[in-house]
Amino acid sequence: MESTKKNDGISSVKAGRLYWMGRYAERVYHALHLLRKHYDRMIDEEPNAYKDFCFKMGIADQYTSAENFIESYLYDSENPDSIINMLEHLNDNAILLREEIKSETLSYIQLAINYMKSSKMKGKGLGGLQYITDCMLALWGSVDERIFTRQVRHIILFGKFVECIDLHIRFDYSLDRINNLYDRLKECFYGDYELFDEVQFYAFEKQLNIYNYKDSKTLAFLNNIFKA
Amino acid sequence: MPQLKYCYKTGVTFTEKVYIHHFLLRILPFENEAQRAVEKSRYEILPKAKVCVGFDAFGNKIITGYIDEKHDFFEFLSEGTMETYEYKIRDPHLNRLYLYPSKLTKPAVRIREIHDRLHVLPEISTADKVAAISQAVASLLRYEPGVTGIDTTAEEALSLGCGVCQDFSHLMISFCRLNGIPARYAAGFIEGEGFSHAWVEYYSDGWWYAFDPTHNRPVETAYIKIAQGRDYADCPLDKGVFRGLAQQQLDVSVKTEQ
Amino acid sequence: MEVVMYELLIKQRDTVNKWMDRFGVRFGIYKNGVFNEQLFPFDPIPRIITNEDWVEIETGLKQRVLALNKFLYDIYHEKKIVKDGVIPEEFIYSSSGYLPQCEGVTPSKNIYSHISGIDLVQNKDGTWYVLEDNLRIPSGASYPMIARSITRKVSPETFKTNILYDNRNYSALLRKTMDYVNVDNGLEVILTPGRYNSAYFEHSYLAEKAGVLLAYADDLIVEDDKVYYKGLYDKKERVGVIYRRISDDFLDPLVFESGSLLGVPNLFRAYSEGNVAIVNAFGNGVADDKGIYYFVPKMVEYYLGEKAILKNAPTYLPYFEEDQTFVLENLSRLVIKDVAEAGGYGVMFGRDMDDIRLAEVRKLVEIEPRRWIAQEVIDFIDLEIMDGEKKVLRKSDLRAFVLSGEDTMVWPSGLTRYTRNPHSFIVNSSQGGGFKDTWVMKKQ
Repeated sequence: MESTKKNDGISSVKAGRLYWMGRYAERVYHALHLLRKHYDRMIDEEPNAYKDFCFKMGIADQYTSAENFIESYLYDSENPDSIINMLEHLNDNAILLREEIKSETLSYIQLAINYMKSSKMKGKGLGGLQYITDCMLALWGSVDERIFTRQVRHIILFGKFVECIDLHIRFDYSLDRINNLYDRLKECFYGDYELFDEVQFYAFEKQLNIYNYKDSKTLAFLNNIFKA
Repeated sequence: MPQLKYCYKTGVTFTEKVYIHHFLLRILPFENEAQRAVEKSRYEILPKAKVCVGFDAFGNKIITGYIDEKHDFFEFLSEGTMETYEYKIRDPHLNRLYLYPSKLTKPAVRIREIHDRLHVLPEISTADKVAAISQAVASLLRYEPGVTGIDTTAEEALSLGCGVCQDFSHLMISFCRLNGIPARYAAGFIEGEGFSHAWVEYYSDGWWYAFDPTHNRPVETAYIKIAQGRDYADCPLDKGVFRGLAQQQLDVSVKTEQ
Repeated sequence: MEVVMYELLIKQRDTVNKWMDRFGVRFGIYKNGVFNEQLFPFDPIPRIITNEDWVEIETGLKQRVLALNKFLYDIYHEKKIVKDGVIPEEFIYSSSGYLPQCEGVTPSKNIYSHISGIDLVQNKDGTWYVLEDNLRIPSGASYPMIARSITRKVSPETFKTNILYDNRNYSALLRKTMDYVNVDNGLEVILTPGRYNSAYFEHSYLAEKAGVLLAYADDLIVEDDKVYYKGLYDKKERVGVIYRRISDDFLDPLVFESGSLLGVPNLFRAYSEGNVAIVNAFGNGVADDKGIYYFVPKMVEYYLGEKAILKNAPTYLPYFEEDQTFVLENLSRLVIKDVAEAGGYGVMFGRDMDDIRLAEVRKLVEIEPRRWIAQEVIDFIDLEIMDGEKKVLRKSDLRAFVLSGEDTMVWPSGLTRYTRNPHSFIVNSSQGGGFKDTWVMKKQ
């Protein structure tokens, strides 16, 4: 006879890990998406579009050329901004959450990291990284399917949407799109009123609705909404 | 019989603020045939902590406590007046534990060699055997602070050839047990010392007596015991864990007078 | 003797290994102070235990673990086995695993060793011997469990042709045991020292499969002698049972030696007051001490009135005079083990010693007889492992897991470990080497 008792519990540290797992997973997915858009411009229109990418991302432009940028931003583990590092940070958080997210979810991250390392060896470049995107989407699917505790799922999604909105603001998406995401963000902490900082939350909302959301203060408020 | 007024103070300062601080103190004197409180002993702990008084497995009175909020100092004080009597404590049910080696008193090659050479005559009285052992310890160890630490074993102290009262006591305990004499570690206060002192209690015919190997003399009276165990590791006077990266500066003072 | 087909598993081993990688089935080793985690090498050839052998092993294990649990209760209460002269009191009091603080403390449901890892070897003549009892924090069951999960997925045909016991129920057995000793229907947790522990994979995988919470020392707090899990919003939830993967020394920094932050202050108090169950209980080290091993078959007779079914390897204790004489005379063909904890001589083989060394060791034995235990060298059966495309032979042992809850349940499998080095007799996860799944065949 199986036990029906539920052993649910989220400590402050665990909540932080769930949140950052969500942020890093979204960052990998979205960074690759944005990278492809910029890379397309770099083919014939603007060889230096990568500089625009760096500026909007808020990372240092320490690259000598477009080729150097692609190589380093994708694969260089010494580069703190690189995709491979994002995957490692993602893994660092997720591996401490196996029992909450399940081995299956965790495995998509391992697959992505393995592929990234082998891709580097084969010199595949951006074109060969569709598989990473596939893994990230599978990861979200697994989060949805395999995590039964509502609060756990919602904290991960909270991180996802904060990251998503952050990138949307940086990369000049329309206010419409951002508001859409903002509605989805609110769904994540509905009822868990102590998971977010009210002051930061209302300040962020004002930036969207009343003031200029392109102001740098918007990002500051957004990044401080989560509180555990 | 001699009355001793004691005051044991410890002050810890932290270089950074610490928090979630759990501590366990052994600073309250025993009540037995050898010592009784004249005025009720009092203690004080700062900053204010949630405390609970109880006993540990060795019969020591312990104060466990907890300080949640950030603080950069920790002080405790134990004082009172004890009337001391002949050092003879009745114990009809000896805990057999005290016959066997413990972590800090475990005899290894050196101690065993000396034990063999020592040839303590089996027919003499326990008190005489104990005195002979103390004499031997006095010849083997030189009193020198700053060389050994709280983790030093009897065997290690012996190879270093020096130590403090803790080491003298551990070595003596080791030899006593090898000679089939139940022995245990005792810590507390004696007149005048600037720090707490350690000595040995040995068991004979239903009673615990005491001997001070550091001064190489039997203990008649005027020793106030606050802790006992197989060795120091069983009964440190204060233990604590806390959160925060800080260095500690310890200030201990003991004042005992008649 | 049934013919067991596993050639398919050998053919499909690359696929199996990819799945192991995907699920992060790792084991960590500290080398020169650096933590190195790698995939725990898995050999595709399973260790086969015949149904006939298993019947005997299972009964023997149940008997042994039952006796050990009774021994632990007895030692921390009346010590009848000592009073009746079966075990000299010295072996109890000098054991470094004996904790005086546990005297008189009765754990939840009287169970001390809920998870017992009994290491077995099989001699070339087919006899099974117990090499060692592990009653503190035996680890490793998660590895064959996940290996079976993967091999069944990759090679279903293999499991159609061979009829064996399913071993994926280990986590369910663990859960059942924890449920049974749970105090006041509190939360059930696994307490891990953290990410950089060798068996961290196991801590998190078992938490996942058993449906219990994975907690770190910082997550727990003891208040009024009860244990709580610190959740969000300053919420404190009562904990009823802790499966701790931290040793006694580090578990309560105020009571036991270390001041380390891996433990939970005052946890021992909560335990001794009966407010939380600790799996396995404090103080079990007195029963899996290498010196006590010698007496285990006598425990079976003393507590159960039965003859021990599972044999100890022929063992001699120099503490006893006849044994000491025997050991000194036959040293060159025996194996000598140092009973003292870390920093000792470890395991020494008489046949590897020259005359000078033999004389040195004889002196050591004479000076400190209590410290040594001598055994006949057992020529254990080597198992085949795959080395590239070839099959080679390596030494291996079997760790069987016995869970003690309402009933004593023997897990129908085990962790089979093998050495990497062909000349090594020492099988130990921290020395390299790998593992195999263990198949217990069903009756045909």
